[in-house]
Amino acid sequence: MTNIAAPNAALHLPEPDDSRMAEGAAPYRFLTGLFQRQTWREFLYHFAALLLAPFGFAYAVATVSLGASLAVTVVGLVVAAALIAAARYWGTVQRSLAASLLQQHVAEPVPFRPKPGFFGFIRSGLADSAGWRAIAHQSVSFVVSVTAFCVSITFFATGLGAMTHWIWYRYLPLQQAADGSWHRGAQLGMDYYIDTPPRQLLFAAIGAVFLWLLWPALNHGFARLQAVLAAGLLGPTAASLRLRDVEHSRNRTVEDADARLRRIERDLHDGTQAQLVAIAMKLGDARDRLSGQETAPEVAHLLESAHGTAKDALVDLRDLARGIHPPVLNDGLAPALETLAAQSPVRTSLVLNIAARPAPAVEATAYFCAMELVTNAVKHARAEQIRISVRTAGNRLQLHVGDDGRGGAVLSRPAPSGHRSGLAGLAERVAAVDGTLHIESPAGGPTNVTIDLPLDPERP
Amino acid sequence: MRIAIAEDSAILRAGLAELLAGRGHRITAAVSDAAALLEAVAAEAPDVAIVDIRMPPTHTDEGIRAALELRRTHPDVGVLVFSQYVETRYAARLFADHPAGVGYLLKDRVAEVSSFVDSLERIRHGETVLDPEVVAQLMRSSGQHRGLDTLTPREGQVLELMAEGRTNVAIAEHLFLSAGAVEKNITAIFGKLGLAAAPGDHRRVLAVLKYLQA
Repeated sequence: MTNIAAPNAALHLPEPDDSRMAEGAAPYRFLTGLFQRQTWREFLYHFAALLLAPFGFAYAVATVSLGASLAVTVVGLVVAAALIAAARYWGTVQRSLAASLLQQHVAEPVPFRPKPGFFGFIRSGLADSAGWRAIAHQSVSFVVSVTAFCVSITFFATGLGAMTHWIWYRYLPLQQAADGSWHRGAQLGMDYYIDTPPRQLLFAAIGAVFLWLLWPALNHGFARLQAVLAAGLLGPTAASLRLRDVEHSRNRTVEDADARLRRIERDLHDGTQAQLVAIAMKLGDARDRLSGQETAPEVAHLLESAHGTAKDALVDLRDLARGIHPPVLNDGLAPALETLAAQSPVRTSLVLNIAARPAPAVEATAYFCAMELVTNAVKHARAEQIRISVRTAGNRLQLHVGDDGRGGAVLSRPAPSGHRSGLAGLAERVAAVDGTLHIESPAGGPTNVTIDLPLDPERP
Repeated sequence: MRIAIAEDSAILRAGLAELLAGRGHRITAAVSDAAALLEAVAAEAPDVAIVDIRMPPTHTDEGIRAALELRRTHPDVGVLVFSQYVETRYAARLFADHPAGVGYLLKDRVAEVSSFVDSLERIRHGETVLDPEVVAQLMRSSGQHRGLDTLTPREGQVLELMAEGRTNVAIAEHLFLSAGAVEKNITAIFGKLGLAAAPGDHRRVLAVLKYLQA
């Protein structure tokens, strides 16, 4: 995939972990590399990476070849999409390995979020950049892991062997040189045997250079290469992070708006509504007390009219407050929809199958959609029967509202004046929490509207 | 009457207390949350408790829970649940077990002071009081309820008035019927709703409940 982030992409994340990435790996010191713990951890990493590499590579090859050959069928596309998305697990394994042994903390990519529906899943899977990048990482790191292991283990073994030659040479068999002399010791080139003390010393010195200086440096170099690969291919891309930030802030906006509406409703309830009730009550009391007595008819009339106005205001205010945020929604979608169905002027059936409680903003969205759709069915479609059903499946919530009215509902674009139809408003509301709206309303009816919402837009 | 009030709005609480005291009733307690109400009733049992549905801490259904608790611990204390909105589910919960001596009214009803005080009296005497708005809502959607859709319009009207807690005489007056005709309608309602013969009041309550437990 093309979106390969710079290795420091993880630094964009506001998580506190990220600082560790910079300071976690102690600076490598050339002269004392052999005695740094980090060197040995990296050595261990090369072993572990070699063990993983064939499997990861086989997975990458299988995904590409199987996916390509199966792609001609729909089932094949599903398999390919699933394999690509599941490659993220290899990324997870490699990230944790890099974190524990290389001190390279790579942030997780943005979670896989398939679009709803069968083809949505296929599209999302095939285009999953984190999955593709994990596959690319498996392929590249296969080569790097094998090379790194071979080089590192060769230099390590050579250095150690040469340094300790003066101990173990005595167990070597005797060899006869071309001139007929017998030697016991490693043979380097034609008739050059390490069997004299100066040569032993020189050989040990060369071994020491290998083990002390060359091996740790190469070992570390390959480890850094692996770390850079992991950071570059297994972390989130800058673009996906930006997208996630945008989604975060949008969800916050939706939640803020929802919370603000709740607060307004509460303020109305605690303040204005209570005051109006008190006024109406006192006016009623005054009227009752005056009724038996001799009063000017104008006063009685004034009182009566003030009383009536206060009561009308109460009814208006109640409808207004309910429209802002029905308080019963605080108890959940089920009781709110039950009340909605009970208040509907036409026969309204309700089927609820809610396994998990959605986020407040989603509950509010579902409720107001149901309310708007019921109003439409009654007002515009002249329906005689409305069916509302809500069910949760996995992390989605599906709201379905159907009526037997005359249909013809269309999702029109907003007029130039900025005026929107009710359905366009619904579509906007649904889109704000990452949901989808599907309308089926042929002229003559019936109308069926299906709305699909995530249970929690923050954790799709 | 001795009356306890639980209402979190100070202005309404004080107004109610003043109003009822002005009409010669004694306010045993005027508190702002459910826990305080239960304590106050335990200390001195009133004839009727007026309970706001939404009270601290969560402002959802504290009042309903307090009312049900009161019914359990003090069955002889009448309870009037007081609400800003009509929520059928709350009403159904309230009337599910012992609907006698229980009421559910919109707060607006205090504006008609005399009829409000009258409702309190009826609750005190073990009657059931349902807000006309609740009844109207239930009647509108009553077609969905099993049994209720077989009622004639007249029987529906009678049931509606029964649900408001009216007596046969009051129903007869309201609908300009004879007492005998009301009696006949009620018998027909019981029959259609499948309510077996039992003491009359009990069956009346069951018929009303039929509305709520759809």
